[in-house]
Amino acid sequence: MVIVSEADFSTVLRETLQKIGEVIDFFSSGSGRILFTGHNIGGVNRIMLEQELKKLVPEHVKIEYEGEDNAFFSRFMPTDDKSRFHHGTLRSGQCLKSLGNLVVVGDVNPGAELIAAGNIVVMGILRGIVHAGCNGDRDAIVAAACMAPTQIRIADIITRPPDEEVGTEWRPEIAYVHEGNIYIDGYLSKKIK
Amino acid sequence: MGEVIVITSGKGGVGKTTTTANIGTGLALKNKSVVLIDADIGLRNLDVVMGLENRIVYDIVDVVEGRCRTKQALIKDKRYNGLYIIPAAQTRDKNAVSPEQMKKLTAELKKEFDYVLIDCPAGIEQGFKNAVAGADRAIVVTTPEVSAVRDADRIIGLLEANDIKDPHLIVNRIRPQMIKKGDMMNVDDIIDILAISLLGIVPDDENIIISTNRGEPAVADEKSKAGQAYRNITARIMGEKVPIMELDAPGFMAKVKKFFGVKAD
Repeated sequence: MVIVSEADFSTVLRETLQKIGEVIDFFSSGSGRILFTGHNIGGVNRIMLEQELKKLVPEHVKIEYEGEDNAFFSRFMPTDDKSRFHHGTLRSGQCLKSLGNLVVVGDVNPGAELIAAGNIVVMGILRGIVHAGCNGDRDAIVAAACMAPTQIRIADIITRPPDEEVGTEWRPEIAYVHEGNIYIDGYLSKKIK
Repeated sequence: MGEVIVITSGKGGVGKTTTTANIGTGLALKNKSVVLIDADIGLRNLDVVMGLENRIVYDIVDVVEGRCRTKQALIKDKRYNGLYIIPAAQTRDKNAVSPEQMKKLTAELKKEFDYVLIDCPAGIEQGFKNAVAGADRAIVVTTPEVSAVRDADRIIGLLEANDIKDPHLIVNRIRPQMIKKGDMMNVDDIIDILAISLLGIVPDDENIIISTNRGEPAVADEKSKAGQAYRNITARIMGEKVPIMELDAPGFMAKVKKFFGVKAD
């Protein structure tokens, strides 16, 4: 059984018992075990859960737990714990740095700076300055839901938008280095290597 | 050997940055080599008004902290030869630079440039002290408002305390119609209070807002009245004698009075 971390304990308990109740016949013969993974249930809650379960299932059924809090979710998360996640608008004068990747859920306004050794992803309008692969990694990319940057830097390459006004369109784009130049492309149409 | 001029006001929003950008551009139009320094660390604007924001790689804090050479922080203007700016840092504050470092930097720059213009931040704290540290001359900008004039007066006192003698005054954003009706302080009143010499007056002009937003100083715009005012100011800075401009074209009666030698009011 997988327990999601957002669920509160009473829900977990209720649904667990309901589920086990539905399949109780499965446990009636032979040996069996119930394995809990995902969110780690500990302390008083675990004792309560076991007490309730024991009322329901036969004695030979073992109740086991696997892993810590993140064991389940870590499969979906980058293993690099240096990555940084920011929720909210970055305003002028604010600077976010990361030794890994950088993800911003929000806008990056002019005058704000994002600097990362890895990739940078902005789930909003990118209007400020970004520097991906700041330790020299030319394979780093910058992706944004809407690209209108003051300047993009990848590794040792710096680029800026042309002086003529170009309209900003709302489409996700990606900036990458190809043969020493920074290119910006829509990423929905293109596979990222 | 060039000259270091600080453009200051005390009060915010009176047009220091616009003035710096326009005088700088005006001097460049007259084939002078000019560098503009944005001393407003943490609230930089000069690069935006000049339309050069997206060219910034190094800033003034990088220079004083030795992360780059001074030449690397100089951003060349996209329109005029001989015009450069050194932008302020945006992610730092005024304390990132000391007056001694500013003195060193301006001394270095004035060897190479005819004019070094410093855009001073509002206020009288660290930022002001940094901005005036290396200055030879000062231009005080004010608007015809009691509060702006009060702050200008305070600034003039502080400039004198910093051994910057004889600052010059620019009265910005004048509305001739309002002065005529007696709703706005007139320039003579302001000079009476501040008792410094007038470098120029600049009329309130919508074109300034347009040009500032576009990142193209109005001084190059032949049609703009404020642009003309800044061209005159530039000429005066270079030592030319240019009469202070008449803001409202004199009416018929005024011309007649003038013809007969009667003082027009």
